[in-house]
Amino acid sequence: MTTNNPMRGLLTLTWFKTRSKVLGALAYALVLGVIYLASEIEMIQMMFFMACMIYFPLQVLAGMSENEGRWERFQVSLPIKRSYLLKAQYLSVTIAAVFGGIILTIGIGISTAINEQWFNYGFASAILSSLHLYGTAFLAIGLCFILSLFIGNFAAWIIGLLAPTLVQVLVPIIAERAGISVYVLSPSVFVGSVVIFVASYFIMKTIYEKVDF
Amino acid sequence: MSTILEVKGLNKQYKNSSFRLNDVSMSIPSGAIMGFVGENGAGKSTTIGCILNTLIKDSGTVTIFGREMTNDSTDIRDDIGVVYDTNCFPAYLTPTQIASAMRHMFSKWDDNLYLDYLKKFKLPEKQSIKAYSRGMSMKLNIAVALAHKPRLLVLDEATSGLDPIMRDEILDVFLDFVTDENKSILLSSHITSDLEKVADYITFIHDGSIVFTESKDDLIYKYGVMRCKAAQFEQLDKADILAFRKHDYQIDALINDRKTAEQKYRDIVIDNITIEEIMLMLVKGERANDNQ
Repeated sequence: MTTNNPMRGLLTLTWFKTRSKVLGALAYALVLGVIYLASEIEMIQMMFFMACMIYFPLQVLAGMSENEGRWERFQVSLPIKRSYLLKAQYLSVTIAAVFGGIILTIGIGISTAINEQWFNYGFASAILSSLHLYGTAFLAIGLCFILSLFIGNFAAWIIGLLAPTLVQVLVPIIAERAGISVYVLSPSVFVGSVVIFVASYFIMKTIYEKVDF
Repeated sequence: MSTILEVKGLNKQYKNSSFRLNDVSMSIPSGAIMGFVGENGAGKSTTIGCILNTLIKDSGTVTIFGREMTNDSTDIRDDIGVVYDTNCFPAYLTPTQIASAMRHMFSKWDDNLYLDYLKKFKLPEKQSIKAYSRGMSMKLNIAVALAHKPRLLVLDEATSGLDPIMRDEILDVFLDFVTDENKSILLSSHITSDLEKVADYITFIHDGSIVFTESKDDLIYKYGVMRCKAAQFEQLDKADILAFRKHDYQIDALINDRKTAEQKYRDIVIDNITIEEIMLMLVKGERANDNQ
């Protein structure tokens, strides 16, 4: 016989879920790393922009699209206070976002360090570019995670895609007015990123179906 | 014999839907299996949702173990095992991972019992559920529901989609479960043969309303079907008939007092009737009173 501690049980599940998502983020970064190694130096910039699209493949990896609704219904029948369920949901999202963000940051940092061009822009430019690009990624991920709590995965993903697009457009305009140059993505990179996203989605789906995380 | 579950005057209406649960009442005595039968969309899952408080009822009371079920009744839910018609666990989890979460959620979770069920059902402990067949994942859900030693087991179409051999195995587990007189099962299903095998009582729901709650033995021994020709049917006292169905050369009439009918209508063949036939007659048949 064990002591009843439902929050601990929920957090145990959260850990298993988060672990899948973090592994998913890692796999995603690896896919992009391969793209980087096989491509022109400019292609790595897609990684930043594509971060906005990371949420959906991660959801697929976590198996959420298929089973999460059923689990939501089932867990209400468990001997757990409703407030605990909500807390665990927010914790799960936050932990996943933090871990996903750390992995992305490391990936972005390594890629950026390799990219010598980055440093040729000067210190202020590097900081602004960094905020621009990192900010885009985290705004997207944060938005997707938070919005998915309220409006569902697909809608969150769409808004998560639109919001960083807006950032990508606005930051260079603001920077230009301030007289600071920042790295700006070209339309062809954007189109390329969408194509790669679709491909990476299917790669992720295949990984999820074939590999036990 | 005490009552494990009592539902009184349950009403529930969905927004933007004409369906409504209408004054549903039933009770399950301890040590009994209640078969809850009805066609798809009759209101079985809605009733179960209101019992478990996963759906908000408009009115009525649900009393489990003598106490009213509310949002905060975690101690009541600790004593209830729930199995839905599909696997409810995230598919990337393994049975071992599920146990490590569930042992903190249920006060009476028994790891040994859980492992016994996994062995009995031949479920690999380290394999993620996504690699399981439908039958295996249903068995896993049943193992989880039983491993915390509930007093009430609520099964919503838990055996549907399983092959007959697997269903038979699982029904045996249910029968074992109620050998303890303090435990009960609410078994919702439209596989009436399963209910005939294990249920002590049958509650039939149609279009959101309870049509009857009877003991299975009463249904099988008291109910019957009269095979009448048109002329014979005309001679029948319509008060004796619950429902009837017209066929090409015969009219079948459902009765609920076979003994009296056998004495009253000696020239008419009266057959035994299955739960499925009763259900069909009541849903698809015409009501004798409507024809009067």
